[in-house]
Amino acid sequence: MINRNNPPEVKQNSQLHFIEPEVWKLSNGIPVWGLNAGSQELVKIDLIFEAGTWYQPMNLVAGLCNAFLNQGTSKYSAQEIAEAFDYRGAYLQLSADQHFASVSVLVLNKYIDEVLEVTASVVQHAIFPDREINAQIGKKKQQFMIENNKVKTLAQKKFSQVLFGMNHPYSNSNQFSDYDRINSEQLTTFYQSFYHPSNCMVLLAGKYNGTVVAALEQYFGASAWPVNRKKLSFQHHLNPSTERNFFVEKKDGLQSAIRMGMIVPNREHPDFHGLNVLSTVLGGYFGSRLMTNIREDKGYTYGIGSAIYSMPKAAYFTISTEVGNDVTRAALHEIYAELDHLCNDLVPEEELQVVKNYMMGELLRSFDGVFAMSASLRNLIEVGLGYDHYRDLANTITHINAERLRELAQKYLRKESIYEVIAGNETC
Amino acid sequence: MIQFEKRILDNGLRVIVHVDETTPMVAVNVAYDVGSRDEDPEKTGFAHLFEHLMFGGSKHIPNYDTPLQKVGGDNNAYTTNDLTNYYLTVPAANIETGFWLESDRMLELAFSKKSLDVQRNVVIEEFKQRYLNQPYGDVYPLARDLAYTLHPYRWPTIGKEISHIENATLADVKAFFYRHYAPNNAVLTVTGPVNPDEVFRLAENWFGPIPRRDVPLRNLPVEPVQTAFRSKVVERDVPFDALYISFHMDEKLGPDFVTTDLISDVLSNGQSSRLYRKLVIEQRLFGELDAYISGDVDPGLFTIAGKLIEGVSMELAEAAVWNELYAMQQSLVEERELQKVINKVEANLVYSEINYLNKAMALAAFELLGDANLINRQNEWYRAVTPARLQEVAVRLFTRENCSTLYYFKKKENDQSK
Repeated sequence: MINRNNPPEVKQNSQLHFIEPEVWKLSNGIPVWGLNAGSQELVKIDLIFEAGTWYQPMNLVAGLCNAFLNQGTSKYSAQEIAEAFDYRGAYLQLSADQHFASVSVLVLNKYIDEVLEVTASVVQHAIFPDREINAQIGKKKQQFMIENNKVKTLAQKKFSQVLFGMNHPYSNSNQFSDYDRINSEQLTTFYQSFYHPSNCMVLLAGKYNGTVVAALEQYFGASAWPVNRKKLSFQHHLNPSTERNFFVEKKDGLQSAIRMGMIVPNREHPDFHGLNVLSTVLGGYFGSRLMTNIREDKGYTYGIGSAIYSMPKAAYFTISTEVGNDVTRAALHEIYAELDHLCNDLVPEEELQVVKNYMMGELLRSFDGVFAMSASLRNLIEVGLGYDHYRDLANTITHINAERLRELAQKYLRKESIYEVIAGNETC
Repeated sequence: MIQFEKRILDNGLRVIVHVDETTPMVAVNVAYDVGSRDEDPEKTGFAHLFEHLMFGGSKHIPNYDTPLQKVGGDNNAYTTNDLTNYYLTVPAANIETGFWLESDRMLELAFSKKSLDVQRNVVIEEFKQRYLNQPYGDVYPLARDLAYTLHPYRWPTIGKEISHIENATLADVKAFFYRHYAPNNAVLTVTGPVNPDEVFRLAENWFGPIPRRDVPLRNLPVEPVQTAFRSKVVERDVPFDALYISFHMDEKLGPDFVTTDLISDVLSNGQSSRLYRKLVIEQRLFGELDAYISGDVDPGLFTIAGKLIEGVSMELAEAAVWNELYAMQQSLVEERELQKVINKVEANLVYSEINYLNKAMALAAFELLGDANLINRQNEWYRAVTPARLQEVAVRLFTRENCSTLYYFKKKENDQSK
């Protein structure tokens, strides 16, 4: 007979299971991490370059250089490149963040040869032709203008500027006029300096075979791509604002966007994993305190959350939401009350248990399937860590207690040290 | 090929199990055959509001989320024009928690006044966040309202207006539950490293005792055939003029649906597609330009949506789009171009089979359409399309009489300074 009043017995979660990557080097020294798993005959290949905004001489260069790699090479036109991928149902994904820029390919194994041949041309012989570049910049300008009409974009940009300093690569200080200063020559210079074998690593994930491994060597090894440049390094210093409260005006909006937070110790610090647990208690899952109070009890917002973002050179804690103008002040009041609550009171045992189990489930999910594994592994190899990082996190989740969380809250989540940015109209 | 086993419980609940040993998690997905198309025109947005209320506690379980989080689970839901889908994922060892939670809220909701009061506000904020406080956020409701005169697809899932959500009562909520939430109006799919017999046993134990309910037969007004061009002009505080051209198209299982889908791919799937190459890159008329189908179960819309480059006139942009549509009617698409879009569909089907949760959702959606096995027939449907078929369907689709165009202008500078 079933009993609907009580939950079924809680069984121990499945153990975290890490697939150790195969590691090898191409003949020109490019390191390759291979995760051989999955049941479909396909692979995802990430070619990762240290070519993010950290290394750019002026705004936009790193991102646009990456985004326009497929706009033409010495061998293929943009149209031919697009055709080569589309015809095989393959995807070329270009993305750049603060430190890394990547060229990612998703392809069925049966097309590996044709698709890697074109990918190699994109990575090794891009030429940034004027006609394509100008059309693409026109598109990017449109997207920029549209994004800048959103309160969440305005709040996020301001927040990054006050947290890291206007000129730091972690802050987003892009302006519309920056687009007019970009040309093919700057992109080419940046490309030549940062897209080369000594600055590249490869992550291969999926059900790969000898043919795939051989194709990687053929198209990206020494005979195709000899080493001819040195790796460059740069320094930048944080310059956070001395003021704490900021307002960005956006006329006629119905909602305002709130971003709050501060810089916190990064992954090498012993408090890092504990802070992640604390942030999850506050706003890291649907049943979190911020969601329960501000959405599920007050109905002020569609969603609110907090998180810790870790980048290679700094980590920060942030709370973000969009709320009705009329309840912005009330929402802020509740957010501060929740921070106080974490600093003053112990997290009840039952709640802590929920958070722990939820986080272990999430950790399991981040290794669920070969592409999730590859994304998690990528986070590690980009900063030179191993699976021990996740084992430590699992260990912290299992053993942390309410006293320790309160101590962390008192140390880091104090109201006096938090930055507050609101974007909205003057009534909020 | 997605293999699955299916059984129907005595109360009418359809149960589908697909074994996927590559994941440590299971997905438990419950799709109800009710969407915004089933709403009263005076009470729109109700299916979606109701989806929120389904998390407000059920007969024996005051809080849905906590027990699930306690076993490392996660969940969400979505409402479309055609269905409401609830899904959770949980480490396989705790699969029974999923059955306990989902069966209790199918059995009976808590119908809490507090939950209704709060979720009304949450949904109103969602309305603002997604539709009212975003540049171009009201395009979808405007375009639907223009293209449909009678069929309930004329209003968006979020609702026609905020007042409909504000006015929802607890009595409405109860009536909606007993009218649409029933084992005989739902499909349960389970995917992951499971033993199908064990899943069927759990399904029988937890869902078996829920009584069958009287679900009224769906009898929706049929949209009359459009006979004259329609248009609407609006002015908004946005950075660029935009153009939205819609055509009525075939229903999901209709003979022209797949062909129409491929027409949209030829026009705009990927950077090698026609609209992108010609109108975005070569002629520089649009910054963004897409053609897509709504994918609705009943006859839906084929839409071309574009944001104009600064300085380009609406007339020029519109004429250029029509030129490409006429080209689809006048000359046959080359074999290689057709092969390209078919290959892409096939590859996408393979990619979509990677994830156990995707498979759970897709199996449920096809079962609601009539047969989960349709999921394995998609390849052959697309393979069967020929250049001649593309042309034939394009000729019928792209006519002025079948067209509704939304001209979306940015406000003039002098208006903005007022």
